[in-house]
Amino acid sequence: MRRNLALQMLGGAVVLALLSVGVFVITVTAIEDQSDATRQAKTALSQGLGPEDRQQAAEALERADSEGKRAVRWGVAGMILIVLGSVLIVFYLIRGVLIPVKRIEEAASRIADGDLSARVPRLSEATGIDRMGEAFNSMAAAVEKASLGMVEAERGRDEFFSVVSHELRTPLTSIIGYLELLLEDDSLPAEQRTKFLNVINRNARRLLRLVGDLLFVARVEAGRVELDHQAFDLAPVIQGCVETFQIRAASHGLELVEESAPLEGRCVGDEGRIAQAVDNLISNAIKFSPEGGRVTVRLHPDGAKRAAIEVVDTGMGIPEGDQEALFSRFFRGKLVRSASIQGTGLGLGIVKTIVDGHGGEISLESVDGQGSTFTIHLPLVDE
Amino acid sequence: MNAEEESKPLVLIADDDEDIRELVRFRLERAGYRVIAAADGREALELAEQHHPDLVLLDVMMPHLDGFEVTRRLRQHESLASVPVVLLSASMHGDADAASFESGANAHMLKPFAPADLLKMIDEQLPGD
Repeated sequence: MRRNLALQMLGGAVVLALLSVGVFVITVTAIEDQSDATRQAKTALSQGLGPEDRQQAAEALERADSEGKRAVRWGVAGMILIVLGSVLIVFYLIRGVLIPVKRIEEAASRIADGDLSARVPRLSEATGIDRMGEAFNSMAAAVEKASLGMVEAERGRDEFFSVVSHELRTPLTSIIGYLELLLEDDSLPAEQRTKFLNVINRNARRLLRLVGDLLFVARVEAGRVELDHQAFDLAPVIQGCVETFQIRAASHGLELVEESAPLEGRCVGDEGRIAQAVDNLISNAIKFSPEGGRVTVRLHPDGAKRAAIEVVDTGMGIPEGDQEALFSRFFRGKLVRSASIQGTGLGLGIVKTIVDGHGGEISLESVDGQGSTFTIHLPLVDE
Repeated sequence: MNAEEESKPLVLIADDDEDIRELVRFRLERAGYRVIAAADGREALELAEQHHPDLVLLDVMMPHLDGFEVTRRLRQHESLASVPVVLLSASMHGDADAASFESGANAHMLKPFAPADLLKMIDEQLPGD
């Protein structure tokens, strides 16, 4: 049960005041009675003392005496009551105000010293101050959460620089290293020279792709991605993407096939960017499929006025726990990292940005260990 | 394997990037070393235990076990505790040097590097004949 401390204190003070007034009234009455009795005794005395008068005077004096004692008794009792009441109020102040305030102060200094998890302990008895403690605790929780967010963001930034540095320096190591080999020795057999030049070429392209991806992400961050707004046919774009990857698929020992159905309608937007998104999906599908696997690209109508572009692989699949984070930047699944597959974790984030920019959607179906299907859904307009 | 082959120092290289692995292998073999190569930290540790190389060259960012961890485990290993370890890193860590020495590595080189410089560092780390 929650009681208001201020009301409690006020109640205590009123009771104490009423008691004091009561005691005062009784004491004053007793003193008045005493004066009365004394006056009567004096009157009796001044009127001369007959036997009856003597009797009266003695009675009056006796009454005065007892009224005086009564006044003293009540006065003393009143004083004791007031002292006790004051002690009680001070006790309540210490227990209900000073101790909780002290606890809040302690929690505040612990937070100031860096222990953001410090909280005010709940009091055994709820008081008004306890509500202040609760308010303090919610404030502390908010501060802790904000601070954790900042730490998280900082960690993300560190990881970003570390990943980017690694991804830039790795291809550069091969480019510089193999160039030095060629420069050191011009008597290398032609076959060896060609092999080295191919390695340099491949790594230079990998670097170029990374630089392109990073610039795209930087432009997205700055809100400066401008998409073309032209009507175009999707079929030749998808065919082009599939053709580009035939050689790479073959060198991975994979079959890359297209199975498309004719569409009714055209896509409106940026042809180059749509091709980039589909390229990223095909590139991933090849990267994650084992030798002897198969990558299938399908373009087909998806209900009225929509097209679906499916990229199906026979790779490791994506665990359900990873599916949500998959499209966020720099995300790389645990399996991906431990299987030593190259990448920055930028690709799918870029795909999503492009698809969103076209008013489309991207969806994923995957069974762990049994391959994945990424589908881009795009709105179409009449020809 | 003839006696002359046997006398050449054996270097274990570990890097998850095949191009870099082959680059280092080519340059070292031309300089007269024997080379064994691993594609990740776990494999590196296994090869080290099997072949007892004269020097170990480790990439820092590798799957399964990173270069620092492989170094620490080598240092705890009975017969591999004193093998010279050179770390190669491609990450921009200001304290990569400190971390390398803390893990027990003898030297550290930042990628990209000129193969000739790497060779020089390896020569320095190998005990003189």
